[in-house]
Amino acid sequence: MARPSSTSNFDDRRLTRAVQYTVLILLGVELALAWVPENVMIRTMRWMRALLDRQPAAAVQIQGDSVAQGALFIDEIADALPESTRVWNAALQGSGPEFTYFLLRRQLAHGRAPRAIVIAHSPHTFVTQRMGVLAGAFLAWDEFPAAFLHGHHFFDTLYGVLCKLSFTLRHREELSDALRGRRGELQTWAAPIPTQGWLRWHMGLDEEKWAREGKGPLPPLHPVYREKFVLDAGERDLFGRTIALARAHNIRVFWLTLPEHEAVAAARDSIGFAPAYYRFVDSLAARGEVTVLQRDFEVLPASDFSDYTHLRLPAALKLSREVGRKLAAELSGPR
Amino acid sequence: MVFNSLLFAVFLGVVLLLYYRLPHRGQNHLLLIASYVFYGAWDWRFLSLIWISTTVDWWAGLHLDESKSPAYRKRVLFLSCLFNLGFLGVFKYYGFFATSFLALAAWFGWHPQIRLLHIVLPIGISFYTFQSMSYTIEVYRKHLKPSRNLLEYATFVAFFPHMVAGPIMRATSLLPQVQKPRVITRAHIVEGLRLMLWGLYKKMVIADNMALIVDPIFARPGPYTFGETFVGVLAFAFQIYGDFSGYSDIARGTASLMGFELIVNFDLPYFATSPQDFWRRWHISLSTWLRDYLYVSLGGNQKGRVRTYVNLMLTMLLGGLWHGASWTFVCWGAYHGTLLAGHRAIGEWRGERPAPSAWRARAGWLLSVGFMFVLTLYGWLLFRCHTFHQIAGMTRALFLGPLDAGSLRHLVTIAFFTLPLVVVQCVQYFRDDLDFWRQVPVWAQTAFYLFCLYSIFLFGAFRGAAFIYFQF
Repeated sequence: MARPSSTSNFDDRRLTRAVQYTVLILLGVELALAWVPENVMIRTMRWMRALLDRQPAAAVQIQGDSVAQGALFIDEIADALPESTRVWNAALQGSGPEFTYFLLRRQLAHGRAPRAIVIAHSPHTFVTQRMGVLAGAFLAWDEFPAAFLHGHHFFDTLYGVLCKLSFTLRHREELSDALRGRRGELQTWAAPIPTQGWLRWHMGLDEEKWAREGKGPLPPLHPVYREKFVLDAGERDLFGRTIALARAHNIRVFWLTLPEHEAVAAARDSIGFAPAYYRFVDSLAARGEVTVLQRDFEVLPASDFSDYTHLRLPAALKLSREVGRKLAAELSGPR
Repeated sequence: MVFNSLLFAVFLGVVLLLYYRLPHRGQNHLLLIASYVFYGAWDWRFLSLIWISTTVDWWAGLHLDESKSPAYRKRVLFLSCLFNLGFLGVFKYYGFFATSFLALAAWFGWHPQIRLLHIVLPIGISFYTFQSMSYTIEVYRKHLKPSRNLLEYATFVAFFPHMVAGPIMRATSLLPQVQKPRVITRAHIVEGLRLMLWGLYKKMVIADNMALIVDPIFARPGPYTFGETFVGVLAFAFQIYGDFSGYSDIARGTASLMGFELIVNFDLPYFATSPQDFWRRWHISLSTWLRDYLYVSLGGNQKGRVRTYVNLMLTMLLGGLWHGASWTFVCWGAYHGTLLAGHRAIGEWRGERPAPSAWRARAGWLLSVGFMFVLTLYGWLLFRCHTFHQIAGMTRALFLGPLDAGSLRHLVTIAFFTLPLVVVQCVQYFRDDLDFWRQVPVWAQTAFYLFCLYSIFLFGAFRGAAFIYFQF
């Protein structure tokens, strides 16, 4: 039987030195990694932060995740709106409602508030809980008290502090994929920032490729599309704060439900996803907190999607024009 | 509040900051408050259970010490044990026995009306109840003077590092540490940090990643293949070891930061060469508790061969039931009881043999470890399955099921996460020293700590997945 020895009777100098060296090397590694380029999500986040300081406020601002980022083209929307109405797509890939709140907060602090925001998040992003990485990559140190004080994400924000300090924690998903020999998130690390121009060009290339080679079969449906609609207290609170912030500054808030892939709709039918989601949207609308541009999921055929959530270019352009028309009607009518 | 959460890190930081500034009595008061906060963070209502259990056993200890009458002392001990086991019976086993009785009665065509209590199982009740019982039994056996200070005794029962999942500390070992002023040296701090780091590695890197393989396999209703059953059981063997021994290490590390020493609960159990050896290495605090307070009390091996086997089986059946109110746990206990009895019977039949040659001894050791590991794996199948139907399906798959080579790809993931543990444990075993790292060069220690830290950063589950043993 292997024998453990008592804590109180050994020479601890080696252990202490090893602990000291560990801390020093850890600090050294993290300092060295601070020079490595960040992944595309964080670079996009920081690009947007820089943009806030440079560009004037847009009249209409779109918030959402990668689906809204590639499905709502600002020039198509702007075409339907009165001339000189500036539209900004501030959707960020991989983000949830928490990003919308902190972005709007920062905009207001800079005096660059939009006249209207369109919230177009995919419902599955409501439960992804990216607060830690968001806080670590996007928030300035003076914004952390607000993140802590809003309460529901206290420990996620604390993790965000660690993410801010550590490159490894900020990129743990990509690094762990790399160490396990998986491509996963790693393949998009060095991707360019998905500006609207780049997205349109890239989606166009995809269209050309699919026209030549055809679109291959999709992998099995990810389990996230089989999960019930859940809005935890933290996300509900963030939506509430975003809407309250907008109302306090006379910003109109629109709600847009993005189209759904037929396979996703079929999977969600059996778990009552849509009714639960509609109840939430209706509760916001009933309180007059949002104006609903599109409440129901528009179920589109698989041919309109590049995967299970992201629209192909023709479908995206069509959706953008429709949204533009709906926005024009809403913004021109009585408030 | 689980050990692998930022909430616990903040909690421990605050407790330690205050703890290091207080004198001995203040430290004990702080520990009691912190322990109740720690426990109350799950469900404050169950604090009353701990408090009642504490006061009853403290009172029993005083009466056992003061009385000279053997009959009275026996009555007090009986009442104390009845009270503690009654608590366990109501909160942990009532529903199980009631539904089992109803099922049996229905089989005979009788349908009695029994009210089922839908009570949430108080976390850690099996651990602190057993610990509290050890106190009254030791006082009864006159191995321990009772504590005259209720707050000191309450601190011993509720000591937060080990309250909810052990190790189950004996009063003879922990109570004196509560009572005497503690000297905290630099060795306590660095050793505590090392144990916590290794424990977190076992939990967050090994157990939580094994759970990703295990849970979907055991959640399926079947039919099963050989590949998935084998992979599921092998991953579970590492999951439960990483989970529980990880918890024990973090508990020991946390205690060490406060100048306490808790017993080693796991001693390389997968290197066991026999069922007896396995129980000397697995959950040592429970197996020694069962040995000293149940097996020995039943007469142990002093009342003839038949009684020895009966006592062994009874002890293991109750040990199985201790793990959970389910017949599958009883089945697991019966399986290990059978292994222990079988091993004993074979030993008696073979008698003393001359020592084998060196190479035969080595080959024999290798075969014994391998064979015992396979037996242990089957035990984990019984332990993890939800129903007997599932046990039957998986057992059939192990012998007659299709190979399903696709499932075997998970072996790469299992190897990826468990290889460092296996290497470290091989060194521990062959050097016959669980704390061999105290002797290795500083660079090797540093590399090891960095490896653990970065593994936790990159592969650890940061959302504080609960420990398996919390449910027991």
